[in-house]
Order: sequence, then C-alpha cells, then structure tokens
Amino acid sequence: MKTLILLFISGIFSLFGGIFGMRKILPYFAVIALATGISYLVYDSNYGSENLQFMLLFDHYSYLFTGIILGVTLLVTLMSLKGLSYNPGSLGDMIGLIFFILCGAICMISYNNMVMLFLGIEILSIPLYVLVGSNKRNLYSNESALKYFLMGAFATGFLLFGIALIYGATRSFDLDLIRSMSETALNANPVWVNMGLLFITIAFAFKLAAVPFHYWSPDVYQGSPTLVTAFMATVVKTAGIAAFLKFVIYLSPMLGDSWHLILSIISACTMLFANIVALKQTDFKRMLAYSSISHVGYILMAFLNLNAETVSVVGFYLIIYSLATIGIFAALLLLNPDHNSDNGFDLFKGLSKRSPLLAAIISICLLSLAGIPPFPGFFAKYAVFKQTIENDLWLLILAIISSAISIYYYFRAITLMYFTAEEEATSPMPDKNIAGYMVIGFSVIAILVLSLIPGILNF
Amino acid sequence: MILILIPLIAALINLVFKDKMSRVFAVSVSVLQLIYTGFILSGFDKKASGFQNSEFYEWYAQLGLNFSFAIDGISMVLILLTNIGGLLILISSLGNHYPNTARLNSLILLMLAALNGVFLSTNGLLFYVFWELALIPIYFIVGIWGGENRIKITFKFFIYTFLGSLLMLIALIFVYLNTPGAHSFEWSEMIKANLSPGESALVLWSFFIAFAIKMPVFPFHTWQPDTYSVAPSQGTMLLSGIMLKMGVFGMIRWMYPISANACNCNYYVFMVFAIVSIVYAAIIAIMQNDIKRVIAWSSISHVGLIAAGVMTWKAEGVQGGILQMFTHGINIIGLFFIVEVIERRLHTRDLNQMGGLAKNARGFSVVYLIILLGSVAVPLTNGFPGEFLLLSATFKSNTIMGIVAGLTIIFCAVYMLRIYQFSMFGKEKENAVVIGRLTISEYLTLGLVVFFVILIGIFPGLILDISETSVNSLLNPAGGQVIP
Repeated sequence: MKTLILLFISGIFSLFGGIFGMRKILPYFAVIALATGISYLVYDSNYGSENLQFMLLFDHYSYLFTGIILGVTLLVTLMSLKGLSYNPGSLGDMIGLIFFILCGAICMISYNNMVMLFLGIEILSIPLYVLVGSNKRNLYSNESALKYFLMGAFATGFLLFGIALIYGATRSFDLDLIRSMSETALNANPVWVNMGLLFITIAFAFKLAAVPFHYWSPDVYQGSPTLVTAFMATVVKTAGIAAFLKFVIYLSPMLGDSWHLILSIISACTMLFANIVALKQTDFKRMLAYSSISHVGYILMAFLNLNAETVSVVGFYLIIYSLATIGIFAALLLLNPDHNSDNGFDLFKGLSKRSPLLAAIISICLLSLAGIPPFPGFFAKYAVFKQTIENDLWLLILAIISSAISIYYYFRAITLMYFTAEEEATSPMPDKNIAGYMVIGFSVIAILVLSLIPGILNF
Repeated sequence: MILILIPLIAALINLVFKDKMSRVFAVSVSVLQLIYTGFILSGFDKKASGFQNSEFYEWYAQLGLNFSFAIDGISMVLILLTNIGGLLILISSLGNHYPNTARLNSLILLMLAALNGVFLSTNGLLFYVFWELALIPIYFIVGIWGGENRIKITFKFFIYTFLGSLLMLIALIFVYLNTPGAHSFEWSEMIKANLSPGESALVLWSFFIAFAIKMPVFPFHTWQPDTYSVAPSQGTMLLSGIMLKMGVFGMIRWMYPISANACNCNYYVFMVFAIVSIVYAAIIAIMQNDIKRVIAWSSISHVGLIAAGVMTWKAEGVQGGILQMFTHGINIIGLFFIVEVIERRLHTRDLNQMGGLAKNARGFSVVYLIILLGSVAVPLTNGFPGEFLLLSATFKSNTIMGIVAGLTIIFCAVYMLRIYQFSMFGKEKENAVVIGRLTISEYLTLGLVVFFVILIGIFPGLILDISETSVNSLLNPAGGQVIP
C-alpha cells in the first residue's frame, strides 16, 4: 500500500517537476523513488498480507510480482538516464506516465475485486498508449499508438463484457465470493459463466498478445521508442501475466475441460506461430516482439496444471525472461541510440570485432532466452515443462519443437556477430553510455549468478 | 569435480593472455590435467564394481539438479581419452596461425571441461546440462575459425543436435517423474524407474535419436561430413575424437540401463541402422576425393560398428565398444592431424593434386602408415582387438548382420589405402611441394599417437581391464557368469 501511494505521489511530482524546469534531476529522482518503493515493499512483506476493503489484497503473491516489476522498471529508468533523447521536452511527462503505469500494474497484480482489475488495466493502458506515441514527430510511433489504442479498447470491451456476465451469474465482483459461488453459478447459468470466462480470457490474450490476438504487438513493438518497447516487453507483460494467473488461480473451480482445452490451444498456437513467424523477420525489434509472444506461450503452459509451485515457477520465468530482455534492449540502445529508426540485423554484423564485450553480453542474453543450459533460461523453461509433462504431453512436445525452431532466430544474431569477416562488418561502434552499460552489466551478472546458483530465487 | 574445474578456470584465465603465452598455458594446463587423470587412475580400483570417488553437492535441489560425480570403469576410459585427446589437440594447435588463438584455446579448454562433466556426472539433468554445454564452444569454434560456407553448416549442425538433446530432455523428465519415492535424477534412482514396456520403448527411442545424432548413425548423419570438413582441424579432432563418444557413452550409461524393460526388437532396428551406416558410409568414403571427407565418412563407418557392437548388449560387444572408442578417438585425431600436416604444406586436400609425397618425407610416411593401419585394424595395432570383439559380438547375436558388418574390414582397407596410395605414392605432380621436415610439435603429436597405436595394439588389456568389472556389473546387476 505504501508503495502504491509513494508511486502515485512520485508520478504527480514528476509531472510538475517537468513543468518547473527540474528535468535534469527527474531521472535520478525516479531511480530514488523506485528504490524507496522497493524497500517499502520489502518492509511491508515482513508484516504479512494487507487487505484493503476487499478491493486490493497485498499478500505474498502481490509482493513477489510487484517486486519484479519495480526492479525491472528501475533498470529501464537507469537506461533512460541519458536515453529518452528523442523527446527531451516532455521528460517529466514521460517519467510521470511510467509511474502511473506502475500504479495500474500494482492494482492489476493485487486486485481482489474485478472492478479493481478493470481499473488497473485501464490505468496501465492509457498512459501506455501515450508513451507508445511519445515520439510525436515519428510516423511509426503515431501509427503504433493508434493501433494499440484501438486494439486495447476492443480488449477492454471484452473484459467488461466478461466481468458483467460473471457478475450476472454469481452476483458479485469479489474474487472470494465468486469462487465460493462457482458451483451454484455453474449449475444455474452455465452459459453465462462459460461465456464470461471466455471473454475475460480473450481480453487477457489481447493484453498478453497471445495468438490469435497478437497482431498488434509486432507493429507496436517496432513503432514505439526502444525504451518504451523494453518497458512493454517486460513490465507490462509481467503485470498482465500476474493478473491472469491470479484470475485463473481464484476461479479454478469454474474452469472446466473446455476452458482448459481453449487455453492449451492458445498456448500451443502462440508458441508455434510466434516462433515460426520470427524466423522471417528482418527487423530486430520485430523479432524480439515475436520472441516475447512465444515466451507468453510457454508461460501459459504453466497455467494449465495449477499446483503449489505454479506461482514460483511463473515468477522465476518472468524474472529470467525480463533480465535477458532488458539486457538485449539496453544493448540495442547502445548500438542504435535513435529510438525509432530501423533496427536491421546489419547492426550486429561483425560486432565481436568492434566490441567483444557487448557481443558476449548479447550472446549470453540470447542464449538464456533460447533456453540453453547452463543459462538460467533453461531452468525456467525446464520448470515450466515439468509442470506440463504429466497432463499435457502433446503440448510439451509442441513446446519442445518450437524451442528448437527458436534456436534459429536467436542464433542468427550470434552468428552475425561472431562469424562475419572483418571486411563485411557493418555494425556501428557502440555508444559510450555508462548508464546503459550499468543496466547491461547488472542484467548479465544477474543472469550468470542465477545460472550458477538458480536456487537463490526460492520463494 | 577437479577434472572439470581445472580446464574451466583455465579457460577463463586464458582469456587474459596474448596468443603466444596462451598456447604455452593451454598445453601446460592439459598436461596438468593428464597428470591428475593419471593420479585418479592409479587410485582407481579395477576390481570394484559400482562407482568410486563419488562427490555430491547440491545445486538446484527443487529441480532435482545436483552436482553428483562418480567414476566407474567405463567413464574412467573415456576420461582418459578426453584428457589424452585434449593434450594431443592442444599440442597439435601449436603449429597453427589462426587469428585470436587465445580465444580458440579458451573454447577448447571449456569444451574439455564440459566433456569431462558429461562422462563424470551421475545425475541425469546434470548430464544434460554438460551435454549442452559441450555444444556451445564447438559451435563457436566451427563458426569462427571454420572454412567456406561455415555459417549454414554450423547452423544445421547446431539445430540438428539441439533437437536431439531436447528429445533426450523429454525422456529424462519422463523417467524422473516415474522414479520411485521422492523423484530424483540420480542414476541409481533412474534405473529403478517403473516404466511399462511401451513407455520404455518411447524413452528408448528418444534417447536413441539424441545419441544417434551425436555419433552419428545413419539416417541422422547428414550434418556430419559437412561439419567435419568445414571445421578447423582442432574442431574436427574434438568433434570426432571425443565428442562423438558422448553418444556411445550415453547409450551405455543411460539408454540401456534405464529402458531395460523395452522390447528387444527395438535393438534389432537400431542394429540395422548401425549396420547400414557401416556399409553406406564406407562406400561413400571410397568415392571421395577430399581427404578430410574420406576420414569423416570413415568415422561414420567405424562408429556404426561400435554402435552395432554395443547394441548387442553382451559383455563382449560393450567391452569392444569401449576399447574401440578409445582407439578410434586416438586414431582419428592422428588422421585428422595428418590431413592438417599435408594441408599446411600443400594448401589443398584434393587427392588428385597430390602424389609422390613419400619421396621427401620418410619419417612422415612411416608414421602416416602406422596410424592408417591402426584404423584399418591390422593385428598388433590398436584397431584390431576392439574391432575383433565388436565383430564377434555382432556375429554371435545375428549371423547375417555380422557378415554384413564384417564387410567393413575390406571397405576400410580400400578407402584408407586408397588415400595413402594417392597421396604418398604415384607420380609427383608438376607443382609438387615437398613435405620436408616436420616441426617439433608435429613430431610430438604424431609420435604420441603412434605410441598409443602400438601400445594398445600389443596390450589391449590395459584398457579392457579398467572397464571389465563395471561392464559386467552393468550387464548383470545380479552378478552372473560373464564371458571374459
């Protein structure tokens, strides 16, 4: 709770700070505010859970995922210390918007009432539409903002419709009450319940960009400024998955076989389709968009067999995925500081000759995303696979096939970096940006530490 | 554990050195490693069945992943091979002038660490982790220092082997979930897994495909000739000399004991694959004009025989397979090094452009011939005892297959002697380049190989004794009478 209030006040402060000419200190302020937020979180988590009028519930679950998004946002803000150069005039607004997005994300993670879920998603989405379009002189940025907005509005419609149907069947917005009513509601109004669940699932699939509701995602990822893309691929995704997981855990008595089948089909399509389409991408950011879609597919696999470990498995996966993704985006920003120009694979040709360190770092991040042992991406994937093998062997086999496909595009960048002859190298000299290197350094060290002692993330 | 840590730490330290220092450093590390292996061997009790020198440290207990290492006779032979082979490879690279030798040496050392890990680990998931870890350095070695068209070929190689290992991962997890009591990846628990014959067969096939890709056995071999011929010779030596033994070792250690329940009929299918690859690869080897490709195909043929012998799952076959893994590893490193010696001077590997090389290189031609005969399995060379055991095991288990497999003796002589004849004898070509004197590092490498060819040829018992007890106890857990 304290964290939420702190973030909200920081958001307002940043907005005004931007107006009153404090732009230079704002990024530092944001870093300090986030660090304080994290320490409040740690402090709060020592006192058990905190229930806010049955609207928000701050428990172990919420602390875990809030911690992840705050930590990742801290890294993104560090990247922005010298970044965000494309729109220096409205730095205050942008940092303010990031804080508001975090407020929305915390509502999404900690909701105990469907109304809060809806509010959280809206609080998160509307600033995000603005951030995506924040490079206002760039055509692609504008296009993607509009696209994202239209798609998001659609998803919101689905979500509201679903919530309304569930409310109609169970006469409640409260998660606990819905759960306790589920038996009665299923008997009395099976159509309403199932339609409601389906609509809400579709809304989440939109938000998480799961196939077949993913079409907005590559365009938006490519069009938005790199920093915002990094933020979307990690923080927003984490919030969406946490919200969906909570929904699934609470409403599990309602979820029948048909829902199970639908989700497993969504997951299978997401993995296969995203990985196959990623093979043909020529733009690195677009490729990363498909990569992040495919990771959503893997994570959704864990939703199918709920048990005591599900939350920690998903949390572990998200941490590892976010670290590697942030590392890659930070490296991409060093290679191509222009947020909205093309990011072709030429950027990587012969990078190992220009900057062996950066090449090694990008390789480690990519290897972790590809799930190759001993990098922690493997442990994360393995933990998810282990959840699935008993009940959905076919899904696991599809997941394995799509992992093998994904090797191709993850290794394309590595191949270009290392195997290109000196004469053909087209990669630029990377920027000398200390903040960027700090972010990359942190994520890579974290990845390496996690690959040596993956057990330290034991929650 | 120390066997893995030495090269691993050395690989990191090595990055600091400049090229010249790094060569000396890498060679001395591998000498140290070999001395330590000798130390372990001297303390190794050949009469004891089961594992020795066990070590256990927790790594990621929630997933069942622990550092558990142990040595038995089978892994002892392979560790010996890995570290002798590693030394040979590093010495042989002294005469090379690749750019960034320091990094190449680091990758080779990293590779050796991973290979030792594969042979030492007694935890299924740990085995998988090292198995994959061995793939990363070789991918970079082939990709960075390889020849023409390397990017496509390394891609194919990597995706092929990675798909195989993912299948193995499924099988491992599946067996893990069926282990009795609290699930465990430890070898001793995994072999107790309750699998129905049908499940066993599935597990068997997933393991088989993974290992068959690595070895490689027909029809999973298509990555191999390209990769071998495009890789730098140190990479080829690593791949053929040591890395393919991972596949055979995996069969002996993991595949058979775990899926012992499965129908025997599967083994016949596997044997047919192995025998087809013996004949098929030998015929293709005869047609090749690139020496490196001849040897690459010959490797498929030889490994096919090893696989066929191991698949009989008789003490004779498995023992022969283990001995032959050792000798094949040494011989193929020697043969690929000979190719490199020739290529350094002639700048070609095309047989049609060679001829009469023997005239100015007496020492070299003798050494070449000895190693070649070792491959052909002439009595008193190291190839003979292993091949004899393997063929006799195959023959006893199925006469027709034994006869077909026996063709390898003839074919092998044909293609090996053909390359010798074309390169060393015949008319000198007009633009002839002489081999001349060998450098010290070349003498040292070839000398060591010849030493092992003759030593094992005369005293095959040196290797057979190490693994005998372990093989017997593996084949007959109850401890029955076994053919010596």
